[in-house]
Amino acid sequence: MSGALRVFRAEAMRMLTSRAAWTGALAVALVPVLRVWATVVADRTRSLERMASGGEPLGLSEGTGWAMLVDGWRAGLILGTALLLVQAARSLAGDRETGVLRLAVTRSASRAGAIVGRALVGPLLVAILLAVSGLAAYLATRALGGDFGDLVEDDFTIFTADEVRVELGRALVVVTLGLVAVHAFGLWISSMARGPVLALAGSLAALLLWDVFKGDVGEPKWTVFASHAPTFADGSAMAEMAGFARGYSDAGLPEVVQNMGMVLCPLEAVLFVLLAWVLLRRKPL
Amino acid sequence: MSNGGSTPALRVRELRKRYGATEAVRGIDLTVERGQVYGLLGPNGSGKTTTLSCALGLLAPTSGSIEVLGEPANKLYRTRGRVACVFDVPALLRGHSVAQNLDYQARLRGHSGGRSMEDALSRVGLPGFESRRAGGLSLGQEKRLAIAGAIMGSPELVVLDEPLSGLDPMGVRGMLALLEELATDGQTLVLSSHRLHEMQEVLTHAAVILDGEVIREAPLEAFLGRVGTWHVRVRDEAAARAAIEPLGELAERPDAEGRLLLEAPGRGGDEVVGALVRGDAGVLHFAEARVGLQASFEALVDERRSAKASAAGASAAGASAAGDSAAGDSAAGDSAAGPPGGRS
Repeated sequence: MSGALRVFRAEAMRMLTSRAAWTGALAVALVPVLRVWATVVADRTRSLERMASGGEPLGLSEGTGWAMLVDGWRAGLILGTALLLVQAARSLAGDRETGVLRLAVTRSASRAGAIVGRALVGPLLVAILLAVSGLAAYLATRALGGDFGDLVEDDFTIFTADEVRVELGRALVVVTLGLVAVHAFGLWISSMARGPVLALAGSLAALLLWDVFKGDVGEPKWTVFASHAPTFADGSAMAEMAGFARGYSDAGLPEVVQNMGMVLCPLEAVLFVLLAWVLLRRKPL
Repeated sequence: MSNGGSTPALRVRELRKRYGATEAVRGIDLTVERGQVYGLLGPNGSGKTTTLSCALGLLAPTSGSIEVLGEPANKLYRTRGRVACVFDVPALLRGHSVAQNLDYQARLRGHSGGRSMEDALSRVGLPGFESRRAGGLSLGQEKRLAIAGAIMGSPELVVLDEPLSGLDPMGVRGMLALLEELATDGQTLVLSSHRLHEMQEVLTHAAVILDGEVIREAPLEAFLGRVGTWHVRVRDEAAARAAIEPLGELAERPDAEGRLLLEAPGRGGDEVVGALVRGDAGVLHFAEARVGLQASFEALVDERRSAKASAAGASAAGASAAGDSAAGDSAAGDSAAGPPGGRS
């Protein structure tokens, strides 16, 4: 286990000092800002169109910041899902190709330690991803005049700010676990691929295919980690949260689905790490 | 820190590695004692890198046992940073700086004792390179950086796979000087190379590998020939014989180049040439008669290949004789049986 921690510390340092990671973080910060701005522009355009045709402006009169925040945050996380796959794909397949994986195995870690150490980087990256995209979305929302009060429409309070916070918190927990599983999935694909490009192509293709077919699967789709992660065809708890933050009372994932995600995503993540170890156990490095 | 000074740094027993139908390593036995600079020598494809990869737990052997500092090779992590390796293509984080590369390796090693980053960089001739990006270094500098990473923390065993490959003549010179320095420090080094002429300058022991087998394992001196033999050409052979008599002896006949072999075991060259000069032998030529590692290697390979060819020839002849005999037996059998339907 100490070998895994040594690898984790080395990999975390490598990640935090890499230019690519900082560029990724910048993108993850920039995308929510753009998304929040786009949300504001779209809402104002709709209201203007409505007023031009003699109607009243639509939507919330208070608590407008929640939708902006969730839209921005979700956009950052969608990009983050792709970046997590890139990192995971490079992690094993790339390091096998360049020989960097040999350094860990010959210096102080077993193969299992080298894989677990890399897998532990996943939760760290997800935490950074959530923090950066969330902070960027929050600051952009504040800068563009969004407020985080109760959701009020026509003087009627649809949800209180506390209710929105609780729902957002629950959505974030499920999405976080989904993202950790996405990283572990990337590691597994990376352990079988001949190179980082194939690993990335394989893992991205698998997620995109799941996006295409998950609608046809029905309720069982919630047993698969990828349904809980924000993707381009996003159906995750954050996508539902975008509706909730606009005051749609039918939005939000059922509790049983969220609970399923909270249990199954970590289990699937562990399974992927185990599979990666099984595959790399006897492979030449 | 040490796991017992008497344990060999590397012990390989009956190592075999098969890739499908090809047996790349065929029962290799090696022992590298501490403090040795040990060379695994052989042509490309002879099994050197496969042997090292198995020894470092990077490749699972088909059979055999390997111990590195007393630990099995597949549990190399138990040595906790006491083994370091430098691969043919240096394993570096090319997007990171030199200092970050070394920090990465230090974190992997997990303890901060021993040689520091600054000391290691200075030892490999890269002082002041800390902030340079590793991807912007020349191949020679990359190799030096990889060695700096390996020698940080003072590992007990450093394994270098083809340390001279891809280097220009100046790079080779610098690398040899670095290896010599490490050897002088008492570091145990295991080097694989096919650059025999250069390797001769640093090795203390060597194993020649050919077609996956060790054909000779010995101290370097044993490869180079006996110490205390010289080739001489003199004006007065009788005076030379008289002068050299108390120290050794002079061969009866000169070689094709007119040189006489002078043997004076245990005597230094200065002493021998001094005696010849004092004896007024008229020394025209005086040179050590030891063969180079390259020549010794070539002789070993030739000997091995001709032995194999004769064995194969003998086996073919045997098989042919057996075949003839079998054909004869068969003919005899046929004859005894008589022509089919002959009993008419």
